[in-house]
Amino acid sequence: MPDVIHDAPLPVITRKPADPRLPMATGAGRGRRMMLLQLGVASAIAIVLVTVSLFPGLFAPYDPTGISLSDALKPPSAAHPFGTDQLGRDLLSRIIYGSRVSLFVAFCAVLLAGIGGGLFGIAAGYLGGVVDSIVMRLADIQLALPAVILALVLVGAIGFSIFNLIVVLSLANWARFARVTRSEALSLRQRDFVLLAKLAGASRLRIMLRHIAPNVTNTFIVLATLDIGVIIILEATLSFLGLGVQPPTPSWGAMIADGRGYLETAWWICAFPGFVLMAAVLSANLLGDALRDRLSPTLLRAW
Amino acid sequence: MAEAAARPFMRVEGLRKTYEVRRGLFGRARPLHAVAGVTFEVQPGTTFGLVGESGSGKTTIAKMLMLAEPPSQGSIEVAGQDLTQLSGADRERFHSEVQPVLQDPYSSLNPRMRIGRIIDEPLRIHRRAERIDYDARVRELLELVGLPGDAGSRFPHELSGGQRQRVSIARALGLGPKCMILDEPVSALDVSIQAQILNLLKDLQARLGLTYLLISHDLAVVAYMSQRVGVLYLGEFMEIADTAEIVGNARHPYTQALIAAVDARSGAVDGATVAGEIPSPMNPPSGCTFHPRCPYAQARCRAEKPGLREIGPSHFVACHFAEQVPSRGHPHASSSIAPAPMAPTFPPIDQPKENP
Repeated sequence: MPDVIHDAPLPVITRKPADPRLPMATGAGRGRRMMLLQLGVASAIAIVLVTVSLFPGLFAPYDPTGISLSDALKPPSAAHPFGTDQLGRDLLSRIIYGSRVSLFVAFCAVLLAGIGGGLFGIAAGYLGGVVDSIVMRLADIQLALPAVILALVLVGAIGFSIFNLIVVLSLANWARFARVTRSEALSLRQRDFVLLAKLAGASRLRIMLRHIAPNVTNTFIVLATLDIGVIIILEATLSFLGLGVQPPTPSWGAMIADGRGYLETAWWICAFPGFVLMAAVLSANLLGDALRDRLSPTLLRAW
Repeated sequence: MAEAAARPFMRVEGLRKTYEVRRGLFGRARPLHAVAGVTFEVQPGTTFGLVGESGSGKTTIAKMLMLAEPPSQGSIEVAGQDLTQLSGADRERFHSEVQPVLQDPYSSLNPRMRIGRIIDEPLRIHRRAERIDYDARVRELLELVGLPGDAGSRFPHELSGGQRQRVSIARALGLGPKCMILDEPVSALDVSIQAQILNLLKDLQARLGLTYLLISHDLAVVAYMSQRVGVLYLGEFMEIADTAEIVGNARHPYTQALIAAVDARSGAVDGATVAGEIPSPMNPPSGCTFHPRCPYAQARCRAEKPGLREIGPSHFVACHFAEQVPSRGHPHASSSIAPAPMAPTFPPIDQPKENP
């Protein structure tokens, strides 16, 4: 098995791939250019959306809740680039303010679901036994129920607020994180460094937090990025059904719901929030894919 | 070297590890004797080498000695204390006195931890000195194992296999152990690097007075490092003797086959190596467990299991015909595994002709 390559002299640090399981981004030529293009487009969309949602006042030309019935149902024009809705509110401004709700809620929900699910998964995978059984059966229950139905029931049960919405969305999405981190933890616990930590007297908590958790972060980041798209849609669905953010606060899902009645006369009310929603989800998915290709521990330094 | 005059640092007696293996859903559990009763002593400041093929129980013994697995039977005594009876604080003290170095330098370092954190982790856990300057200690340990002192800020993937193994050794040295359990410390490394690591280990042993328990499948490595060697086969000792005896006067056919394998590799002799593979410990052969592969096997070997018997001064062999088996220990031919002189410059395992 030993190859007859002579090692470099000591002070010279050579690079070797640490973890052969994760593919490295070695694509050359066209494939690589495509990937970079995807990554560029996805990050551009993400940066624009995040910037706009952080400083909506700088970008929105009108008050998002300012009703002006004389301007109702105006098609896109120079004054109203995305047109106006049935109450004469500027759609661009509403989309900009709506992004604040949609993105903030989705981001918080992913964070909560990811950290909660991730910790549960690590505990299940590393501790095994009863903990594993309980966590995995709970995850099965969550996965067996359609997310929308589960969220509907939960919102109905605990009532509406932004905070509750975040909790509900994460309760409907934590199981995937738990499953993936559990399987990672299962393979990590077999690694020698875990055995050595145990022999050095490390507590189980320490091993889970210092040795297992850092090694699942790559998977975690990829999964979280992909999940943001799912949660944005779920949040929009709840708002569409009237269980999300309450009017007059704008949100993409609620705007699409508002426009439903005017599809034949004023297509723009539905179309523009829909486009933005699609762009946001698409950028989350592309970023997730790109991260999955690139995030290996070997390359972490380059980031 | 291994006179029983001094009190042994480690004494292992009748150590057994039996796993219950169940085949299929309704299959009855059958015992698998991974380690079928081994007894040996390690003198302080010396190296005891365990050789054997994969499946001979080497690693299981190592795991039991590290307290990573409880023995099924038998006792392990370290510095006069029975490890199987240890609890709490004593166990903790044991872990700081006996430190492991494992085989795979890629799996034994957490890829997401900096080298410095890896090395000082045992220190931080044991808090030997409350106000310890970890960075200084890490630097000191790194320099002790021949790495640049500033390597502590690096990540494992920036190091080569040999450098990683040095890090593992530095980590093991952090708590000032008396003994290290070296489980195949060089078998994952390039041949040229093996020599460096072995010499580093020897050097550390001389400087710090460490006791080693060295496990390897490579008799050349074991002979180079050890004062005393035990040859394992299917969880039992076939032969235990001082290194010079093993190399120059091996009496067990299996030991001779291992020597022949080393000779054949180095091109010294085209010795006949042993055919076949180690049998399954689920289903060990009758009588002498080595008889199916032994060139000298007789009817008695199939029927009667030989016990270890002393055929020379502290030279034990488990073979009915140890006296009759032709000796292979001709000194010139086996020079490639000659026990190392006191000043190792470059170990003999680094032969130009490498046969993987």
